[in-house]
Amino acid sequence: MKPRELAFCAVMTALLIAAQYVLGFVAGVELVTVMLLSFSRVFGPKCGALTAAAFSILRCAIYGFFPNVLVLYLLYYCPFAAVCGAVGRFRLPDFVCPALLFCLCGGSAWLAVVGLPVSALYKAKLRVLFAAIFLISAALAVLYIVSAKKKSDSKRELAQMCAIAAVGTVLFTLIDDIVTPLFMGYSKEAAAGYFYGGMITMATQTVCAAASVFLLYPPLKRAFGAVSKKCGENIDKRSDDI
Amino acid sequence: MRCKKFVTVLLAAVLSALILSSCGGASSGAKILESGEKLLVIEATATGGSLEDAMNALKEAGELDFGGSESEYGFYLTSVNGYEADSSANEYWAVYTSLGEYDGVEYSNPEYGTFDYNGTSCASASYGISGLVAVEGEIYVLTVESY
Repeated sequence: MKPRELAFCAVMTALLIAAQYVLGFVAGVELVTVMLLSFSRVFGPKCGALTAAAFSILRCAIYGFFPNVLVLYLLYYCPFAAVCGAVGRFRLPDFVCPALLFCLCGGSAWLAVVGLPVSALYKAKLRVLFAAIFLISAALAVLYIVSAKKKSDSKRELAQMCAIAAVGTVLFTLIDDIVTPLFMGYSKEAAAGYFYGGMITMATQTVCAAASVFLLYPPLKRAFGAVSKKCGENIDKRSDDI
Repeated sequence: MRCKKFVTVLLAAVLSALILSSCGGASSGAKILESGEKLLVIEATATGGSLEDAMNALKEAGELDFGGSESEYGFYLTSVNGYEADSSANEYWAVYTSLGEYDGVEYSNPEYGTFDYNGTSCASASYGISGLVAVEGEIYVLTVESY
């Protein structure tokens, strides 16, 4: 890896930690996903995964060292960044994005209808959130299919990135639902309680991830693209089309 | 372009629905059993609403003061009766309750931690003060802990 690439990764790591810390106080706003996704898409999987690893480790300086959280972050963010970076270099098969969105649509519709054994105070909100996830995934699927037919690569890519962010956010919670109970030695019942307790956060963050990527991915990608071009880097061969 | 507009309108509608769904919730009664610098014990005297609603009722009556911020996890409690949890010392306000399973939902679990109050065993809550249902006769303990 070139020194300049390392410098980009270092600056991005600092930006991610700052964004997580500053926006941690704002309800429902999480920009780490869209920032890491856009960065990885432009600078490639290697830079993305390295930044994700550095972010996962260095954020412990602010939030404290918890082995389960560190493992969760490393298990999730490194592959997530690598996947986003790989999407920038290799064209995903056409069926992947609709398949991801179909899974999200089906799962959220089912959960919105059957409900979950969560606090009575969160039941209505959770149903609204799952209905929102259903509508957003359906709309993204339509956007993907229409733009694929019209051969509009930018919109197709936007739908694809939103789908990856939304599904990734769900996976983050599901990994946490396995890692934390294992580290804490919870029984089946306690692990189930932990799973249901985290549902409201998962649903909120999934909506937030899809919305933030939809709104911020195009300008962030342009900004990162401009930086990489200005610095004379040709890190991602496919970033030329930005 | 029309598709992108549709998704934008949809996002706005989702946000509005979320704001509406967060509104409401009946306030409930509660009384303070013990109040110390780093400890607050409350007993719900009526069923309905959240522990946060009950605490707000006590706040309005001038019996309690507390502060915090809204987060995606609900209300994040940072201070009670003037004591601010020292985040630099890894302190936080922990919530315990005698309310276990209620209406098929588990509101606390002893595996997360326990707190004994005058012979009543309370377990660490599965939710914060805005997600805990106030149930008549149940005890809610707020205490400063550090990690």
